[in-house]
Amino acid sequence: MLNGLAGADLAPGARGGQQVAKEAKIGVGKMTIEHKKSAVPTTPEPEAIQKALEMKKVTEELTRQKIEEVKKRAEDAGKLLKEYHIEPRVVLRLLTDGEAVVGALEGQVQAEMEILRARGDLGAEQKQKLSIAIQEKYKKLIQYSENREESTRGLIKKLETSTKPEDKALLLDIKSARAQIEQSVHQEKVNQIKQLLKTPSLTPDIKTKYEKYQEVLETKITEIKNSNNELKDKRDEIKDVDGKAIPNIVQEMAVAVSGGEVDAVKDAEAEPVRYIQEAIINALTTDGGTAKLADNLVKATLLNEADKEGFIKDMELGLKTEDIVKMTQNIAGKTALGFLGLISMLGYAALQRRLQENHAS
Amino acid sequence: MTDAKFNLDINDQDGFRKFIEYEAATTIISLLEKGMIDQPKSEKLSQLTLDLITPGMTVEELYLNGVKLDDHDPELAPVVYKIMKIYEEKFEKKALSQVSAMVKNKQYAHAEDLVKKVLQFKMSN
Repeated sequence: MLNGLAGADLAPGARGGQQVAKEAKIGVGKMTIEHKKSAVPTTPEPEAIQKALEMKKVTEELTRQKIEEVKKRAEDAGKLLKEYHIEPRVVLRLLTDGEAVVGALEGQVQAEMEILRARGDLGAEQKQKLSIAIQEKYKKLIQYSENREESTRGLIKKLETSTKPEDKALLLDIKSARAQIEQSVHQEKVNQIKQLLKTPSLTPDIKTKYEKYQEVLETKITEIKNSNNELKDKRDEIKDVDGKAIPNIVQEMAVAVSGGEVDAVKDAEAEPVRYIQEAIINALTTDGGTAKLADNLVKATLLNEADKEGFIKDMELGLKTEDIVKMTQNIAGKTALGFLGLISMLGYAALQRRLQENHAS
Repeated sequence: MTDAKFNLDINDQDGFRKFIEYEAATTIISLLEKGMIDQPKSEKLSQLTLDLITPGMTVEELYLNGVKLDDHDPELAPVVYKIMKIYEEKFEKKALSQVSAMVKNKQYAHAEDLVKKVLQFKMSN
């Protein structure tokens, strides 16, 4: 019966799509053949194609820029290492994410060892003894700093898997605080280098070495600033389930440790990270200071009363007040203590906030 | 194979540590420049090196930790090779005596790992 079917549009069987009626010649007569037009994707509009191509170009350009930045970073690190003979350990730290505080402490040990080596008034045995004492002095701080970095990375990993807006906000607050500390450590190093470069007796090769190191550090500072600005933009977008803004935990901590006086609160809100670090140093070098700090945090519901004792022990790191005072006499020691205290405080405050959320839900 | 810059003495643990850090940093930077690893990977490898190799370690500790660098990251295998070479050449110690010490301390898994690495090194050397 179908022998004479010519010109018939024998489209494939029904797969949805439009029913199309078509006339076809069959032998001497005509037959209406109904078949379903197959559901093929429609051709996108020219404007949509154009937009997609433009977006593709932008993405490719951003990827290319990112690759170039990474290569430049690698080239700079390579130069520092091979041409300017910066310590390999320092270069490795520049390649990592974080660890600026530990790097600063190791740099401090290095600096004190170099001063010791240059002392002509001491014999080999005395130098050996003093060298061990220097390493011992900073060993605990370096170990604590590394441990805190490790636990912060752990907390960040945990928060990254959460879908709760409060956890997302907390994650960004922690990342931002950490970035600000890194930035300040690198800035302090840049300031030290600038001072060093003013030395009139500096040889040209040493001058070039430290100029290059300064350039690399300033690039890193810019990267951190840009990254932190992106974090702030993302942070501003996060709202709770009721559409309200979620308080910044670092700012809350700063206001809590300020004690509530108007001027102190203003200062705390303006630069919360710096304010908290200074408050911690004051607390650690004052009798009863850490207990008072803990009381302020309990009042602000950023620390549980039951955790107060553990918090004070964590802050004081098992060190005597006189040892802490000695450590604050150099920038690296002071920064490390401030950093350790801030991260510890964040850990307790984060825990407290998460407990409160669980109670509320 | 030995870098002339590193004239390491038998007790110069600081020199050996700096050698390992230098080789690790150079390898990581080279891989980054060639686009063979990305930034997160370079951060991870740098962090791994800093965690395993720390100031104050003895030569033996540096060796035992250094050979672990490529346990999960084969990118650092060339560094491990150099560590083993320097240790054999400069410090005149036999790696297998480290294995005996581990077995005595019942660190069997570590001993097995180290034996495998030493054998691989010996076969390729």
